[in-house]
Amino acid sequence: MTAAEAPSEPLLIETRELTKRYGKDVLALDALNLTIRGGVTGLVGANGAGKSTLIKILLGLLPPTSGDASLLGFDVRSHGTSIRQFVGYMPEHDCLPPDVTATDFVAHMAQVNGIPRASARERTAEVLRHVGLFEERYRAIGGYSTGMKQRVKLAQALVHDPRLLMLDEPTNGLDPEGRDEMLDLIRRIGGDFGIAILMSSHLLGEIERVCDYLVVIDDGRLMRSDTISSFTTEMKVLTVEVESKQDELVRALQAKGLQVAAEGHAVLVSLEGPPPYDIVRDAVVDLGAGLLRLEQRRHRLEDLFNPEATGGDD
Amino acid sequence: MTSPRNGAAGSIYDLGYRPYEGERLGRAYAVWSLYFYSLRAVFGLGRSMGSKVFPIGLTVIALIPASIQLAIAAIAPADLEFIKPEEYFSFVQIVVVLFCAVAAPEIIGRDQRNRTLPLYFSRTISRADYVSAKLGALVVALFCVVALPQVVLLLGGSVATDDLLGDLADHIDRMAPIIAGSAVVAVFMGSMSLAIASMTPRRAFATGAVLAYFVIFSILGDILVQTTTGDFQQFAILVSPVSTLNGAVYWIFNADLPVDSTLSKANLEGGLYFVAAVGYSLVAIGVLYRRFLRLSV
Repeated sequence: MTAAEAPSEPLLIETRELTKRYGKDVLALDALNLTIRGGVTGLVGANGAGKSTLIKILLGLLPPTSGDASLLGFDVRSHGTSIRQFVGYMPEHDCLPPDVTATDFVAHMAQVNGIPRASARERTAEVLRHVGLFEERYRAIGGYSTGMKQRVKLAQALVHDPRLLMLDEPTNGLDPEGRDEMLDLIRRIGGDFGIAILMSSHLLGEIERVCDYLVVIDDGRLMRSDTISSFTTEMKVLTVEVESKQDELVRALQAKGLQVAAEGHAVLVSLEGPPPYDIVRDAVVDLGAGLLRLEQRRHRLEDLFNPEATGGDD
Repeated sequence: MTSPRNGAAGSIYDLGYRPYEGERLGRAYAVWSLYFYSLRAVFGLGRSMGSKVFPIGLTVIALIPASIQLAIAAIAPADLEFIKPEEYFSFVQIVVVLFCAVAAPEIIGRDQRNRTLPLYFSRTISRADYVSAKLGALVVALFCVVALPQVVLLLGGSVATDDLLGDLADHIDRMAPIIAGSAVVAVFMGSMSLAIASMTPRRAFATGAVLAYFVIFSILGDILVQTTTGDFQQFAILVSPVSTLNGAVYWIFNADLPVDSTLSKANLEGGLYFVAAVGYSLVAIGVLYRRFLRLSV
């Protein structure tokens, strides 16, 4: 919980000792303390870690068992209806009526957030254009592809110009191309549109692509909260990839006294001690192995879920 | 600025995102919007042609007895009154029951069916607001279906006479019981059918359950009245929703009960029908709110 609290950004979400219990046995959130400020924040955790429960409590869809949660500085229980006009929500599941047009539905959703009718129609046209729905918006939603439905779900969350957008697994069910487009769109909303985003996902690659901050929860507790870059700091390991003769390269480098290990197609050289770059270069040239890649290795987000590599402040 | 690629699929240039700086009218407007949207949905407005057929068809059918009466009045002597005002509901009760069976699952079940509720409940309305908007929409729709033909009958009867204004003045005192009677019917049938329909997101089940309640309990009430005696017979009629409402309407119009009817056989004090109708409505409204306050979405 360090850089995510950069004081220049307004406080968006704060939870104190937030606990949610389902029945006697299931503890979905366990005294969760969390602070989230602006930008695009990724919320990751394994299935059942408490991501959806947290989002639902923040939106007032679920009551917490104990503890406090606030959005934009206001308590979600006492000020729920008034703060929610500044919040947009895109659920993970299907939530669209099949027999109305995207235009009618999104405009209705704007009005249910207090936007007057004429402005609601105008905003709807703009927002549907931003998410990439054009002539199709006058057709009933039932005939849409999954990708188009995801865009309508995003549009209804965006139509009232929220200050905070909560996206629950926004790329669920999309093909790779649709996924790319959705992520680009989320990046734009967080950047050009200037709307803060809390996005849950179990795909770390997605989080890495679009998020500035990352919140990791596990078993209902905060595991780590920080900037994305702090999760991917450089390691004291040099990754070398060659076209061929990988085994011979490993032996040659070991003969020069370096600490070397092979991992898949890569040769990992320890950077502890004097810089090995010249030795590596010469060895590759001597073998005629063909150098493909030479770079300092970074921590990967995947390491979060690999206990041996976890560097978190759990 | 946004990249030009983003606008490529239809527009030549992208104006970029504009924040909304207009008015935000807040919760009351949000609830009113949901009410109005739901009221339109009851009649299938803004939906496909198929969604309009039943509700609009039934509304038209409810007007048929009034039209026949007016047609007769136009060609026959003016005093021939083949439908008394207090009888109108009993002429169209089946139509109103069918209307409820079609409309209630449509406005209360479809958001559960389509899983749209989380979108509503995460907006600037509360769960109770949601129920109020839906209940208001169905009650107002039913009020129109029940009251409209009676008003048409009242005005049409006056138009058919030589002295329009004079006749209207003579009969205008009938307007109050028309409004009160229609309101009792609309609140009772609206709240009861929504409470029943809210129990399942499946439209067919909800329609069946609403029909079953009104038909089975009405038949059951009549059978009990016919087969029992004494106090039990008197109060057994309150088992029947349709008879309870008819009794309340006769009481509101201060009219004599039809001879040889179940109502006259039960011979219950008229005001009790009204009290029972209000009581049933309150229970149904309570069940409906409770259902939505506890529903997990």
